Amino acid sequence: MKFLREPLVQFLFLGGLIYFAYALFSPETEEDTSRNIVVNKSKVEWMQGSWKKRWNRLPTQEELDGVIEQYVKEVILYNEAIKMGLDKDDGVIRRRLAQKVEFLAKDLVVYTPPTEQDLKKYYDEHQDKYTPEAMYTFTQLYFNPDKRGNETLNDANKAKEILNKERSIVQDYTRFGDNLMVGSYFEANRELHIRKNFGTNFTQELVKLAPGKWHGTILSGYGVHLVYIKEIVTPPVTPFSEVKDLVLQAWTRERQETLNEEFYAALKEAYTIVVEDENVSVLNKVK
Amino acid sequence: MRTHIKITALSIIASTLLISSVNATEVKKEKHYILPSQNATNVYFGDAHVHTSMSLDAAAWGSTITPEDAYRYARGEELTSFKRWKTKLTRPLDWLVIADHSDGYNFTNMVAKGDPIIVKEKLGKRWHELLKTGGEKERRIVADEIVKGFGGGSKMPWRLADPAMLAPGWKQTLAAAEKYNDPGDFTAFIAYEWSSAPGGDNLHRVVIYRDDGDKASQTLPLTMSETKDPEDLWKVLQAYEDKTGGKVLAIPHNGNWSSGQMFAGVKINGKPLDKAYAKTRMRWEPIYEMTQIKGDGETHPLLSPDDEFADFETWDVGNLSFSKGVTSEMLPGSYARSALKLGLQHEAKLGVNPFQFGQIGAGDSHTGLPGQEENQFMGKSASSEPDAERWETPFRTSEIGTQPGWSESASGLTAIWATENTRGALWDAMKRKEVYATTGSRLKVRMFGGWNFKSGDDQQSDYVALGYEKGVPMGGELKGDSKAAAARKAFKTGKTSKSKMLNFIGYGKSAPGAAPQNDGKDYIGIAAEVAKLKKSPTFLVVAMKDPIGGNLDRVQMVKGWLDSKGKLHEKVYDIAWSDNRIQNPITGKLPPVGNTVNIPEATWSNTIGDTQLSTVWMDPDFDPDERAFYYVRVLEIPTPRWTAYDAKRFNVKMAPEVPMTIQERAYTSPIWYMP
Repeated sequence: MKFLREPLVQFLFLGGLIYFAYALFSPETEEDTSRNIVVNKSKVEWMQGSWKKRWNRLPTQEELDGVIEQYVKEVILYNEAIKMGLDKDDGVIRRRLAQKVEFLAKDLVVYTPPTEQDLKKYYDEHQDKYTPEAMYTFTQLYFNPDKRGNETLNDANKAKEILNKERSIVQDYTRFGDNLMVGSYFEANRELHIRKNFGTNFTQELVKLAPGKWHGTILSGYGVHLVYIKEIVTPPVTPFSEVKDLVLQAWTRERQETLNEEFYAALKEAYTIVVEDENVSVLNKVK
Repeated sequence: MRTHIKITALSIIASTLLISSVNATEVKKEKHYILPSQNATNVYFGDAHVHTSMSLDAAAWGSTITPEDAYRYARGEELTSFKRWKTKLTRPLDWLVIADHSDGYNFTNMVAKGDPIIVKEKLGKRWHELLKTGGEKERRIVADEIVKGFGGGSKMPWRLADPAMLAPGWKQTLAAAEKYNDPGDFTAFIAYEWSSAPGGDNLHRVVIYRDDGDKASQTLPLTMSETKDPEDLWKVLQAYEDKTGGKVLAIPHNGNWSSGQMFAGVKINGKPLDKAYAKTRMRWEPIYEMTQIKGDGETHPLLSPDDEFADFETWDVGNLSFSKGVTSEMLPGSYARSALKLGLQHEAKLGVNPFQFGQIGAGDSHTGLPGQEENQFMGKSASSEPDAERWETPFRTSEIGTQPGWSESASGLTAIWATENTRGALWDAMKRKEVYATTGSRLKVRMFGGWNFKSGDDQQSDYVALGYEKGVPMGGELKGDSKAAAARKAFKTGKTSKSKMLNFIGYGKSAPGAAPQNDGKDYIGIAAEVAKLKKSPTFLVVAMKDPIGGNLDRVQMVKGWLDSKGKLHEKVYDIAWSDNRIQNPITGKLPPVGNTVNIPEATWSNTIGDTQLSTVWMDPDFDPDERAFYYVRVLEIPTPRWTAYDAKRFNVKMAPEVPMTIQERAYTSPIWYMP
């Protein structure tokens, strides 16, 4: 019965059911484009039912009249709005209806709970997620372009040559380089922390480097750097038993997303889409 | 939450794997494996104030972002916003304060769902129907009515302090904070906002717990439906601490929307501030949120006419409810700098300064999305998320005027100097005011004040250690020598002659060393003290640009002081600047840094400005008998404002009055000098 588990099938099936039920219980309002509004018995019963649900009692005659009047007013205005085409090209209505379908789909997307094996498999496939990040102990020498101008790169390269020849590991900038507010020696920093201090480019370069040698030049938002990595500590992957909850969370989220995407993709297949304006926006708007 | 690896595992890793120079026992004790670098402290950036859909107005404006979503966003994950933008911070935040309004906690969600408590009231039913059937327009009507209803003091059919209204939502928020708090990597503070607004004037306070959920869950947040008087809030905070042994503080914000009530000279009951008030206020409110989306609150151009950078993201049309227009009499009680000055006056009179606060920034966004950035400003509320029209859609409008949409400010952040990223360490730093505000940038700035900093100290690689050794950090106090002050007083009021004294200490006409005739007064002792106190305080200041932001234009020292006649003064000194510019020898003014912004393209280049600026500065106008405060303002070079990014992105032409560039800045907490 795998076929029945497909979200689109479920959706179409339930969608059909909803339509059918609606048509059954309120055929008048549905088919009647003339000016007849019939509030039939089933409609009234439905109103009484939802009143009871909210108030835990049936409405009085007066209250029921009020509800019916409210309903009739709504239907009349709704019909007029549709006739006038007010539903067309209204962003709010579009968004609201789209949301309704999304919510509906969300409830429909049912997945079989994962077995221990499923989770273990996910864990094995995503080991990087459950491995604490590597820690880098390093010294950076900073060459300030505000001070050195065109000589900045030259100065850095010269310093690198001398340091590597001498095999020296300085921990501050006193001999070469310039003062940098955040300091020069960093102990057991993870990528996130290096990125916070030096930005993305510097960090991407640094994590590629091997320990025991001066490397450079590396650029950051501040200028030019030489880097010496003293040590990289890579902790082992955390055992499955300790991260089982996290694996379950991740598995569920991923599964849900996949199903939602599949559902949308299946709907989309029936459409031909032409985008006439190819302007690319800085923010990546949801497609 | 992969970083939420269990502590035990880490300790094992730490003790077995970390070789050399890592103190495993310390790692174990601190319960996480981030080791402090050799620097004494680190800086942690966060947003001290964001609203999620738990806030009645945020949800009414359309946000559906939950506290859990907000934490995930702060940690760098991608979210889909109300207007269907996929959005993600350029860099994760280190910590986050979710501060939803306690009044009507979760209220709009309950209205939207048609909770029985809500729809049994006529008003609630109306709102429910409007939200259920209406679109954007109805949502705005409901939002406005809710905000006005609860903010304007009119009678509401619900008792918002009713635990049945408040507790379920509060419990959800606590659970989210506990789930996402990750000591060492990310701090999720437990907090709420007490949104007092007597007469529509904003007296809001964000209440932040130092504690975990076990303590914070023992009481419910205070609502303004119970009281609008900050003094009552302080009593409630005291009661919380007494009951739980926990710790809590409160942070006011948006004095610029308070009609001058935020820093008024009188209490809510109209009586003048007294010593007990001053002490209690400082006990609970060590810092002030002075820059955020609803305007920058450092100062106003009318308050600081000599400060050419004073008119910055100014919001001076009305109060919170937009029922009163701003008048010039309201300004001194509305802005941070003038409040710091007024505090000196109160201190002279009462012996305690009620406004001795540190400075922080926050977004106060009602989108559930913290950490505003110019290049992807997500707006104040769901309705002001990016689109082609938000710049011209008024933020608020009434008969008193209009606060335009384009005036929303993509600000700000709080930077905390602390030893580690935990609730305890960050909260303690807020309490001691070792914090600063930025308008969104992550530029770094340190300031130390002391009596003995020497020029060149800022160039030392161990300047941080030096700073703590020889001075106090931002938020600290420098105390005058009381004996010397007494001697000066004797000198000023006594029979001793001025010329004799000046002669003696080498400032007079006669040669130094010629001892004055002994006429019965201890000149030598007095003169020695006077000489000692002639020395001005010195400040060690180091600033560094945001690694992905604009270069630095200049570092300024803002000084405020109270003279012997009881008059208040302020002065802004340029103390370090970029590109070897020369100050005008006559005016002393520094030429502008220039402007590289390409407005149509919304780009700029760091070809002007410096990456770092530092100095040791000595106050040239110091008088040891005058109480004073000093804080640092750092300016970046001009970069594109969010309006420029919007104009480019949506291809719209905005009105000429809309600013397109901005000089992002940081404001440190002050250091106070007390004679």
